[in-house]
Amino acid sequence: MSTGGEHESAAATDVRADAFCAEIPAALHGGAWLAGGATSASSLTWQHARCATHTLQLSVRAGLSIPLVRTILAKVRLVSKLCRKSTNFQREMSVAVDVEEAGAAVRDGRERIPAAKLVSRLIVDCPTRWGSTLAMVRRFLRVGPAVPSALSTYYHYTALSRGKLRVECPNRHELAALSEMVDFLKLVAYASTSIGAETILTSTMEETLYWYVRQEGAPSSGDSDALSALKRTVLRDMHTRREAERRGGPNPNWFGIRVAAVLLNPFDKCSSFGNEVSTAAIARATAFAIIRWMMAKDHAAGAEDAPGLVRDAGAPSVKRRRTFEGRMRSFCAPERAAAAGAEASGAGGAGAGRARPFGAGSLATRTLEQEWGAYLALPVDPNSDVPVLDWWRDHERFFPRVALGARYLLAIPATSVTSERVFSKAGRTISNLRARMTGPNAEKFIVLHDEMTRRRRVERAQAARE
Amino acid sequence: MFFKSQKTFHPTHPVQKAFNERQVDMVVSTLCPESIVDDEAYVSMIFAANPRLTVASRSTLSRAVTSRFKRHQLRVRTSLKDLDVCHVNSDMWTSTANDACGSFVVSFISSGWELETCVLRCCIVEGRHTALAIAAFLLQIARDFGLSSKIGVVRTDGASNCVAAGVVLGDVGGRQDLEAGHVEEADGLAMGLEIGGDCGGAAAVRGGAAASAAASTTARGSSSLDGADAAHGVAGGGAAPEFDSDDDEGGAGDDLPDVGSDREDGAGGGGAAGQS
Repeated sequence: MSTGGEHESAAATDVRADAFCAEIPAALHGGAWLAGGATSASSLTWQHARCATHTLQLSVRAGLSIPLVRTILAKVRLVSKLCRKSTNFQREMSVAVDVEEAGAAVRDGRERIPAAKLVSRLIVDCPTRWGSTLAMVRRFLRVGPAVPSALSTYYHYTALSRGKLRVECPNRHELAALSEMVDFLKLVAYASTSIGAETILTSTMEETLYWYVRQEGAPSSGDSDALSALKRTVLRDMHTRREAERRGGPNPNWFGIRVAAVLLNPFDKCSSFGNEVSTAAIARATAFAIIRWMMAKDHAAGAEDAPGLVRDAGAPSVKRRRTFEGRMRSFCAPERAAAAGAEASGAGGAGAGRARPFGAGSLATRTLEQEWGAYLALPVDPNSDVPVLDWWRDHERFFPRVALGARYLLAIPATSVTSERVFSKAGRTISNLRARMTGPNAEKFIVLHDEMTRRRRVERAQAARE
Repeated sequence: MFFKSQKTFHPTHPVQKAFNERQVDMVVSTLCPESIVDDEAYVSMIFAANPRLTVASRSTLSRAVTSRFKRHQLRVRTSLKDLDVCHVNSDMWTSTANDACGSFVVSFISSGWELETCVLRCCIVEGRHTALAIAAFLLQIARDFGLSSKIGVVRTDGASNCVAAGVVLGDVGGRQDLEAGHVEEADGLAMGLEIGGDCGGAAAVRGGAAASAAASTTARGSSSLDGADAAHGVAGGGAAPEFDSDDDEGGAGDDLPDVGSDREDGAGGGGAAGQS
């Protein structure tokens, strides 16, 4: 394309965005797109999916709203609110926390933390965000032992006006239940944070997270009533939502893509999806469909030269922190080994791939099925810290066609968190003071700011690598 | 003025040019109002650092931001051209100025196997946020950037209008694929769904039926009336409520626009480290 043309297209984006309604793509006009309506189940473009974080948050909130848990949380919230409202109570709290700390210091035989450094203020949550509820509870547990004495001193000096309730502190059992619940919620919060990350691959996590939470958060016999009720509700809700997607949901194609992504993660490729045979079959079929689709696209583009272009890995030798990804890897490890054996023997002609690591030698002639079998049969070290994309960079030349599928499936973001972040930026750009900032102007700042933060992050990562 | 006594740099002087770039950097990075360059304290700070520098005027600064934005878009366009596939996530938001904004963020794996994410647009969506409006917004931007046939997955929150938009988009995508002649793969995928059918084939059929029902509703609307307004009216009156009632959980995420808290206070230090 000539530079002139490029400038033209750049200018086209300058057209005020509100004009777009006037020229809704022809596809939407006149019902011409209806002709394809029947084929909607077979397309691979423009597939809609819901944000995994939003969905997860619905599940957790369902869990937090069961009566057993809600009553405990309500008590915590009342105490916290009192702490935010009453300066008197706040003072009592700081005194009580200090006394508590003095006792603890003597008990443990350590230096006493100065009063100025102790936290005694409680946090009130925002009920629509379960993360803030978790923060509230954690803070409460931290100062927990001091609360009863602070409350009793406070009420000793304060006359209650009529109609005002005396705030109660959760009793010992409830406190114990709370600290158990925090452990479970922390697990989910950690998963939720990882899945919202932008710098690591998240597409495979949506499915693995489900199994991870299901296993790690499974109710055990030692749980208190409240905790096991919470766990059961959250897990049931997650299960229901996943089932809805599996049975077609709003987008019948989506479930296939969701599970196929797991197979393209070399460290999860033999996941058995909790022994759901039909799910594994869907995953495999969708992965094949996507690979074929990408191959057709590649052919059409004609631009793809020999898929042997492999950049040197650059060997990032820094010790990576163990991420959620890594945790899930090791969590999947035993069943993967078992499944790998089953898969390899079941793969028929591809079984030979095990003898020769990459099924090499037949690169040009083997079929897609053989390549897939060789990919599955290739042993990987589940405890390695190699990022998935680095693995694929090194192995693309051995599995050029499967790699195409990986390019499609691994890039899918699991959440719409990036968009939410954009709007948090937008909120700062179009603030109350700058409310006259119009859309196109604000857009420039938002887009450029985003580009700048990303560039900086990349530079920082490179610097850390060197 | 007091600093005119010294000779200032010529506008094309390398130091002055580097300074201008930094100035734009600062405004973009801190997201502070452009009017900071009119602030006396700011001007005197620059003067103290180097009396020969000239602080740009507001209009010059905003022109510089615009040209940088255009350069950035050009760069993005060229990098998107060689792509086979990319994915979108999008969301709707209303600013304090009551402008309804929509974002369009693409993520893809580059030829060197790096995961890249890039905000393409964040612009005003006029009218109500109906399913058709959202779908049209996304299609329009994709067409602008030449991505119409390259978008794989669109990720939005679970709001019912977004979910309904997803169905519309799926139909458009299906038609595109049909035109491009990728039918054989279609069979492959259909087969996959049949395999899964033992547990819920009926439900899948139900989903398909809902899609075509919505399609016919919207089609009737846009043939009887024409233009965007008609489409809006129909989507607002017909399609969206229909999906509300059809989908049992789709709307539930609507009232929870912000997931920020999950990130911020979720796992404390560990979580933050996972991201950076």
